[in-house]
Amino acid sequence: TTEFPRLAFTPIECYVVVAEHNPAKGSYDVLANFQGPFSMHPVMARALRVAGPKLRLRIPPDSGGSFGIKLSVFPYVVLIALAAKITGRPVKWVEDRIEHLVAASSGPNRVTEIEAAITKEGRILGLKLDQLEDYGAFLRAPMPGPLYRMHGAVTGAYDIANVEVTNRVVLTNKMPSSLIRGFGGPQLYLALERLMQRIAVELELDPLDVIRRNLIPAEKFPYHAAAGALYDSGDYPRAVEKAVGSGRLDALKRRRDEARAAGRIYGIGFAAIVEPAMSNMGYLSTLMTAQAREKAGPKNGAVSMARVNIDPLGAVSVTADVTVQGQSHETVLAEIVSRELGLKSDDIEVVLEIDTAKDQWSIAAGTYSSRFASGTAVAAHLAATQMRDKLKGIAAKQLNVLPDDVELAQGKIRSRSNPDNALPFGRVAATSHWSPVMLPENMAPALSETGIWSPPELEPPTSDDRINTSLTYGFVFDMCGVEIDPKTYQVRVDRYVTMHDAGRILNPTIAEGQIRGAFAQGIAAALYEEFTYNDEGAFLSGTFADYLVPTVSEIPDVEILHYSSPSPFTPLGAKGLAEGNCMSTPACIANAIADALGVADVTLPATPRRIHALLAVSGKP
Amino acid sequence: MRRVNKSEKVRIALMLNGRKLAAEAESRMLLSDFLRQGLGATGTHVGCEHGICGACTVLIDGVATRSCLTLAVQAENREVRTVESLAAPDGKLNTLQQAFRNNHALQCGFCTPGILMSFTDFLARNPHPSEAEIREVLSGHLCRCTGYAGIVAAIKEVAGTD
Repeated sequence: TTEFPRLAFTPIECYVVVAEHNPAKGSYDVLANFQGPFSMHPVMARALRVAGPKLRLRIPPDSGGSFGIKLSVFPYVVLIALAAKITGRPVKWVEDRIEHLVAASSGPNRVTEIEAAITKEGRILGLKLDQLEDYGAFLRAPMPGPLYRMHGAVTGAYDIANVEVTNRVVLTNKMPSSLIRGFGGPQLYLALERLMQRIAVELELDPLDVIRRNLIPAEKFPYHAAAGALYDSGDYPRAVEKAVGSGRLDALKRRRDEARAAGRIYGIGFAAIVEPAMSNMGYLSTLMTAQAREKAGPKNGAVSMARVNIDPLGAVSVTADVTVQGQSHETVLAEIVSRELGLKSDDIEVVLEIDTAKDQWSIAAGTYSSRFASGTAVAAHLAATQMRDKLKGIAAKQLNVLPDDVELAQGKIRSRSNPDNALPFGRVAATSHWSPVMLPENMAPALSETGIWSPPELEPPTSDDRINTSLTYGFVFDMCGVEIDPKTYQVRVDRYVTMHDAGRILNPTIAEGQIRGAFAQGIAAALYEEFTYNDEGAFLSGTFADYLVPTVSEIPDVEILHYSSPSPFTPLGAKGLAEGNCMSTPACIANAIADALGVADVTLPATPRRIHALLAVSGKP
Repeated sequence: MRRVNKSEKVRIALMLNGRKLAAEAESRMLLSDFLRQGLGATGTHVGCEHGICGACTVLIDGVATRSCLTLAVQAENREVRTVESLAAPDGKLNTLQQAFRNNHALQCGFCTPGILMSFTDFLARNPHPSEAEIREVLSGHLCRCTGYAGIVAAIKEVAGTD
């Protein structure tokens, strides 16, 4: 049995909604720091009892953090829109911190009963999970998502042929649960990785050997997981060996042995996880019976969209179906588009505010489930290549060469075989504005190209409830050493190593920023953050003095390593990587604590109070 | 000391980033709200309104202060500096801001103004701090995006800390 706590990643900027009602048209115009998914737009429109186009939802170009939490501004969009209608005035609402901590949104807490059928050597033949999740006071859309987002990948990084899953939803008087970074992954992997460690203890095997024996072999990719996920690429055993190699594991063991020899309490933990990205919009329908699914109509897939525009002087701008809360999407999109067009990143203006009345979007739009790298980035790449190919055609006519001989480089469009035969990019690009009649025959003007990415791998659930829940599947392997203070009962993370395979990395600096950010939130879930309620149900963590967000003093150093298995399912080969350590770090630290104390159950967050109780059980000083 | 009735709106004048500005406010209004709503200086961000997160930090007479724990009337006739004062009028970032940019020290940027103001004060008093001293001051701020590593690196870059 494992218990994952109730927590949220509390963006420093809270919810903000500004709403206006137009009585003549019966329409609403709302500005809100909503993050998506835009599958919530029809929910909001129906709550307001208007057709979708009568709810114009605008998202600002920047928002002060989200981490999944700003999906749940959507009920307030409806409420403030109604307030604007009732008062006949524009209404602005800025949530304060107490409101946020009491009632905004939390990740669900989960109790998991997990069992495995194993061989003497620690090979897992079958897995059985009973997952009970607490969604708080209301089951709001798109809940109970965390129980299903990982469904196809419920066997994690392991080659396990048989699996049985029971999901249970309970409602309580706590704040409603919803999206949160990691979304079901932290809960699943806490159970699965604690199980791996328990198997090693029971069979008196090395925990790392138990992991090694069960990892999916490289030759099985693309791999069909038992519950339906189609893992695109990876070489998990090699990534693990690279992480433990170069003396890293030996050094960790040495530190443990020295600490234990000196009478200190020290443990080592491992976690190997699969990090899904770009969700199949049909995964939630897995919760219905096959007959009910048939009746409701198929749900599947996920569409990403981006647009490349050319202005009258040939300047390039980009819009896309993501909302921005600090993920540096602008930088990456500018890099992707400039590369195809032979321009510099700084030449590209990226505008990422969303206006549902005027922009391209689908229900999958927004920033969640790490969909940017395997979704929107691909759409931008497609839009840029479409624009590039059109510009080649236009330039070929002007340069008197064949389109195949045209290249876009260094701000010029030129003949490959005779680079002196060149035109400035802007001159060619502006042709569609000033001189559309002169375009090559049958070519529509190249003013704006929309890239639409709808990968076919995201199939609907099968009749026996298997589903490919995501498009790409990265891999994370963590190991850490923790020491427990015998007087304060604090857990100190002594060493932490995290290995990531996110396919092709789009931008190393931004990738590292996302990994470090997720790691800090993983530490928070493992050791600090929890919404607590007393036995009467009264809320006890309504300030940042009670709800403990880690400061710089609480975040240990982390060594980040990469292994690269590009995804064959996307033209960029990139996978999502922003949630991995939210999923792996709590499990890895729990395993290290279990190793340090020799106990079977570790409840998170492992606060000094809980460690004290565990020390009493283990009989250590 | 000036006496203010609780029901009375008062006019509060202060020096904001070298300019004398004034606006009406209720006596209970927080300095953070006064800066944003009264004076329109929205660079100062409000993250918790109870003094923990540090996003609202400004300088009052050169000293880093939580503007959410300060009443606007307390700042009367005093010199207040906010993040808007850091960059040059042409938008060129100052050394500290540029170091944040160089080190990917912000993602969403919501907590950044407060951190910049804390270290504007701290580095003025202690231009070459150790890493431990930097971490001690930074622990007065919450950042949810970065895991803090880039922020520490940026400040070390400015301070020339090894």
